[in-house]
Amino acid sequence: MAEKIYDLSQLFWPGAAMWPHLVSDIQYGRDSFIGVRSTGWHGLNHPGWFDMGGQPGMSESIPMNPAIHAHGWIGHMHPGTHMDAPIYLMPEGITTDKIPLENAWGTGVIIDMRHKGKWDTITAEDFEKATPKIEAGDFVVVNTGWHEWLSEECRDSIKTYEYYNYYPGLVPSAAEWLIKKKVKAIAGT
Amino acid sequence: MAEKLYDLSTPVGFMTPDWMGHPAWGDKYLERVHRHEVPFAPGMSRRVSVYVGLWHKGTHFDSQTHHVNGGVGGGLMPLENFYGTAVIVDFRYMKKWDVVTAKDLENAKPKIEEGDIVLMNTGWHHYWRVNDYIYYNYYPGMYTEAGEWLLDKKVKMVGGTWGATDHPLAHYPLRLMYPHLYEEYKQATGKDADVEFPDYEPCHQIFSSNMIPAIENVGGDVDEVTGKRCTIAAFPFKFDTTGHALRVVAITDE
Repeated sequence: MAEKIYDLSQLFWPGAAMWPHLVSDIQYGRDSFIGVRSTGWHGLNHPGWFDMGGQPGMSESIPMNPAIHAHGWIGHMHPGTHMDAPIYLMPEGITTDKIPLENAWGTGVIIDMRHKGKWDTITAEDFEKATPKIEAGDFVVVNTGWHEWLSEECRDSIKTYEYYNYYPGLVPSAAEWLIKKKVKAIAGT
Repeated sequence: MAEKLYDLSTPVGFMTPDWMGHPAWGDKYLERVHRHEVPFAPGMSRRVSVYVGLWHKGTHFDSQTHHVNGGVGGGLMPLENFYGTAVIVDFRYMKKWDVVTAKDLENAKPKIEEGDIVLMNTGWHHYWRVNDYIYYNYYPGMYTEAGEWLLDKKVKMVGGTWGATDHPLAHYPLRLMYPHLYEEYKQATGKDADVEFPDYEPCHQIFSSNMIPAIENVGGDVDEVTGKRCTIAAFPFKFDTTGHALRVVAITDE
């Protein structure tokens, strides 16, 4: 049996639709905040990292390959497919790098919640009845179908409104059920 | 037989040492934009950090577009390249400025097979955040011959416990790029680095042109799996960059 790899990730990019924070997040809206900067540019003879940083006392120009460039980033790390670490909500919580690798690898179930509609809740009962059955130690991925709103074709379109405002989502009973079941991770579309 | 995971990544943070050719953005930094000290609603707080800096820090890979105009960006390269059977070869016998040769690769144990992911352990990760100068200026590294050998072997991905995929001296014209290193090499050996290493980052060019991701600054628990054949999973997040951080994980059955 041949192994097959599927990509379940959304694109992480400067135009990624972002959670509509109502309070302080407005101050780092992506227009003014997040951007890929290139420190060297294709097509220029001197990559920017030398133009901008320079080498002290450099008098000759460096015949560099114009194709070389490197990207940087100014922005937080929560766009696209990402994880939240305990420190996100808990002052003493661990940061992402401290999360055991075992929690990010292993057997998983991708459960089908595509029958859910706008603003529907996903409850403990939904998880109890899910197929395939959720077992202890599973990595649980919930497919609501809502990722369709973020398909490549509707990048930055009004559908990001539907994506963030209408998705079917977890309620506390569902979270408690997952904890009791000792799942190793939870993810959703 | 239980599966065991090994972390072969170096930590990335604001103290992460950096390649000497990255002055443009100054240092990277992490800024807190939400803090637990400042609740956003009664009894509710969160912490969110903003990252400012180049992506080529710590354990990261270079994508095709790092060196190829029009090349494929980081997280858009085929996932199959980032996962599969691998060998972690032992180059810890190598010393300051040694060059990895075709013979070294030919004799490597375990034997490098076609289609492997190849990680090379020079032992240099022990200088990481211990002596950054030695780490970035002296590591044993690859030059044209090694790059071509690995390409002929059709490897899926390469990586090493070193500051870059190319030898530190393989940055022609070194006398202009890194004058401090050029002079030091000349004084130590009497040789001209620009004559000895006339190609600029040849391995970067070879791997980029052939859609082979190249991981730099491998480290972590790499010594524990060196000399072994195992599975490597090192997926990058889905981001169209010249390269960015990834978590290199060795998976063994023990």
